[in-house]
Formats: sequence, C-alpha cells, structure tokens
Amino acid sequence: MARFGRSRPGFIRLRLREEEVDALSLMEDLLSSVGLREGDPAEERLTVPAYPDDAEAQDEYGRFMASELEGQRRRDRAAVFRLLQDARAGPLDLALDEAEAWLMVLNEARLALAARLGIEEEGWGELEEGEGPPTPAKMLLIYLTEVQGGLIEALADQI
Amino acid sequence: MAVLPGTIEMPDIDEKIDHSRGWNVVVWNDPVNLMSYVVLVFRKVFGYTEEKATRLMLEVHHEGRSVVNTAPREKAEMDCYTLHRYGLWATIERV
Repeated sequence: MARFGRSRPGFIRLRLREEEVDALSLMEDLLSSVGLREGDPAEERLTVPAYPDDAEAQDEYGRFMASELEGQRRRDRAAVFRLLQDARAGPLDLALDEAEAWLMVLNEARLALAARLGIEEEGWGELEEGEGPPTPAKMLLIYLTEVQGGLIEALADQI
Repeated sequence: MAVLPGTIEMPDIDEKIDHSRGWNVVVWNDPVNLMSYVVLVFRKVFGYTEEKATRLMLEVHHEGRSVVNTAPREKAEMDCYTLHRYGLWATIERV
C-alpha cells in the first residue's frame, strides 16, 4: 500500500503502519540534534551561504534570512511531527502545504544524515557486495529516501 | 495600453553599478537530492514546465551547476532562500 496516495483534489492521502510512524519519528531527535556539537557537518549542509565569495553580502543576507529559515523549518517540523502522531490512528488527508512541509522535513533529515555519514558521491544507495550490513544511519537514509520518492510522485501529480 | 501624457521624473542612477545585468541564482550538484526532487522544486518555485525543469536539473547533474533564474537582487535572494528551504545547494552571483 502506498504511503502517499490520491485523495480528493488538493489533498494527499497519508497512510502509515504503526512501525513506520516509529521509524519516521527518529527524524525528530535527529533534526533537533543538528548544531548541538561544534563542527556538525549536518549544520553546515543545512546552512548553505548565498554568497560564498562575498563575506559582506553574506553577512547582510544571513542577518535577514538565517533566523527566518530556522523559524520556518521549526514550524514545518512541528506540523510534520504532529501529523505523524495523528497518522497512528489511521489514514490522513494532508493539505498541499502540509505535504510540502513533509517534503522539506524528509529532505532536511536526509541531508543531515548524509552529511554526518560523509556522503560526497552518488551511488551511496547501492549496497556493495561483501561490504556488510549498512549502519543504522545509512539504513534510515535509504528508508527516508524511499518515503520521499513516494511523496514526490504524489506531489508531481498535483502541480 | 494607454499612457497618460506628462513628464516623467527620472530617478538618480548610480553610474557605478549596472543594475540591468541582474543576479544569477545558481544551483550546484549534490549527491543526495534526488533528480525527481530537484525537478519538482524547479517546477514549484519557478513555475517551469516539466521539460524546462528537467533540462536544468540535468545541467546541474552533468555540468555541476546551472543558472536557474536571473532576476533583480531582491528577487534572486528570495529565490535563493526558497531553494535553501527545500535543501538545494543554491548561491547568488552577479550576471
């Protein structure tokens, strides 16, 4: 059964098994840990400078945009984790802005995990023979990528 | 379209900066964002057709970067902010 599917126009049906709610809840601790320790690669990946070669322009841009971005991400996360718990009770219809929040939070979690895993090249999703089982963080990354893929398909139909 | 007669006051123009050139919004390749995700983001943020969004995504993928929009500075910064919200690796540079 698809996690994200068709609903009435302007909505996306979210259907999750209990164990998936638990797995997706791992994003909450992951994302709230970003930036807690110094030099966290996840924080670096999530705060890309708009003007990498112009410190003055970047300072000015960052002064307005950094707190705005952080506040927006916090609101998106709060909405997603509330809806995630609601999804335990049964299928939900997500409004498009809620589905967008899901899209962004899933991506934020993927980027944070990949940055901490030191992923710098494509092909990370393919498991090498004889490499042994992937780490829990890698497994979560692969799982979130699959979940996000389904949401992308559902949203692409709605544009 | 009708134009009212009358004089137009010209604003002072800063000769040193050529504002007409605008600012490029650049998206860089990264190994984590899905191709289908990048296409979706370009369609949503810029209203591009699937064809144009796919072409730009492939340019990012193969060339390492692509200019996805050119606009006045304020608009370019808003675009960059929105792309950062989506987790794309976006920067701004003068045309």
